Amino acid sequence: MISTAVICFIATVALTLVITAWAARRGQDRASMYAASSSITGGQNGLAIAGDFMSATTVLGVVGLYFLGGVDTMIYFIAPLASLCLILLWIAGPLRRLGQFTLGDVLVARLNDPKMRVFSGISTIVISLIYLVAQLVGAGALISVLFGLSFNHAVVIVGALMAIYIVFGGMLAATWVQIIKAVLLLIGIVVLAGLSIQAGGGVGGLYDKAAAVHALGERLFSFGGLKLDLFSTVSLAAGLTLGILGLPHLLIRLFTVPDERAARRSIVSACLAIGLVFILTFAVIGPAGVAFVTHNPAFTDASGAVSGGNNMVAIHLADAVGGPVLYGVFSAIAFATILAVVAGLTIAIASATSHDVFHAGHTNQDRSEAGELWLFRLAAIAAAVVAVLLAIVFQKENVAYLVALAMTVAASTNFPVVILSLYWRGLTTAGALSGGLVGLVASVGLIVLSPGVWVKVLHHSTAIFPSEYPALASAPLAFLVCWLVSKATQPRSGAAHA
Amino acid sequence: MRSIGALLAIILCAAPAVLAGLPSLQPAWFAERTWGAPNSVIAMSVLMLAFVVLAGLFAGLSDVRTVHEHGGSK
Repeated sequence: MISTAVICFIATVALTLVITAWAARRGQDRASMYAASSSITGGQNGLAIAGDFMSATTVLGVVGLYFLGGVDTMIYFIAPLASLCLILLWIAGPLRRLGQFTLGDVLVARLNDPKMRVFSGISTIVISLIYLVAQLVGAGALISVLFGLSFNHAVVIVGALMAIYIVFGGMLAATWVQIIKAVLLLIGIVVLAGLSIQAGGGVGGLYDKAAAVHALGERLFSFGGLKLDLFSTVSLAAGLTLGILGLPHLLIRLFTVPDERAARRSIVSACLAIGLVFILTFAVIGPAGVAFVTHNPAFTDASGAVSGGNNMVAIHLADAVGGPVLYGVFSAIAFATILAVVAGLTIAIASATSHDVFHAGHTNQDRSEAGELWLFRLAAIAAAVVAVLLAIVFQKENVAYLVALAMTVAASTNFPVVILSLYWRGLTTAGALSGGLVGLVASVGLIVLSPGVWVKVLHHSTAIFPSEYPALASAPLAFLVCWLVSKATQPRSGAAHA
Repeated sequence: MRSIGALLAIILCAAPAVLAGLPSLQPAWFAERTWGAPNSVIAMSVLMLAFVVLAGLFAGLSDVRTVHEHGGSK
């Protein structure tokens, strides 16, 4: 069983390194390293966005959540699809038209102040680093179970690979790693869903079997299985939807296509690929995981706990319906999934560092391209080292909180500033900076004061903020501060259109 | 058209979250079986499909002008 997984693991690593070598020969200039020379087609970029978005926690984590709470997990599927529609309506075209390499380009095009570039760079680094640590913590646990490695070895391998992709291949290598991952994932999910339906004796048989073995019974298919209150449920949906609208590593993918028409086509293609994976995961693989893993002595202990944790339910399902070969292939797909996402995050951090933070006052014409690219490569290596160290420190932390933190910060920091800068004529630099800063402090602060950290980690008796998902409070607060400060700092009449 | 589309996407996303947060609002027939699958699964799968279709429709909209292209505060 392990040998199949290890062979697939080595093949995946070899394939991604070949792609990196190919990308390194194609070009080493700034346009290539930051944005793949804007040469990616809309369809290709759609697959890359799907590959960038569907992380191991997205795919494996939600199957694990379905295993616990049933159809309530639909929030994790529906919110991202709604978010993609909103990106299409509000962001894709304008972002592509105004930006070249980073979100900082867009904010400077609108507000014409280098401070916005620094703000954008720092918020990109903070959001992407939190998300990267969450991915590495999840990846380390997953890879150690799949391939029998220690957690530390697993995260060091992933960290080294992601640094190699970005240092040598830049955005072009990351793009093709993401495209291949998305294609592998699509094929894997379709095969796994087909075999699950066959093993269950049809869709009806699958649902009957799931309801028969799960503690919730038929209520597995009713809302309320995750037992979240109304505020938390709506705030979770809002945090996911608005957070994705502010995730830098997804938004900068729109700079890899030649024009706004291709940018819109990218999002539609991404929606198709992600929609197919999500529908099959929600309607077939989730219930099949319940049906074939619950109380199965091969995958659970005497207490009913799943071997390797609930994130392993989809992998165990592959073993149950497809045997060792599908187990090995699906393990490799999970590994490719991790590599694709961390590559996208690393490039977001590296480009924000070299293009925005360290060259805030420079135009594209007065920069040293060679110097900026060396900084880009150093930033990629530094991001990998810092993320690996943080992942080792926080390896016992709950990945869901780290992901929720990144999403909440993105929803409360980047999203208000980006959307207001595109559509509100009255936004000023002071308003954008104040709102973004308040959003950052409020989102991190409310997460710390929530039951997930205040009670479970800091061991206080009751939480100061009652919900674990604060985006519904922190994002409107950021909008409010942007509006108030902008109103208070409006340039006098006549200077507004300068 | 763009505002109606955004509003539709937000309502379609928020409605099931409200139902999950207040399960007592869930209609009695919702979790019953139809064609072998529970109605809740069918409904949520159709909703996901609806977002994919909406994305296809939204892609045909002409692109929106931002305040940058009309001028704005700095």
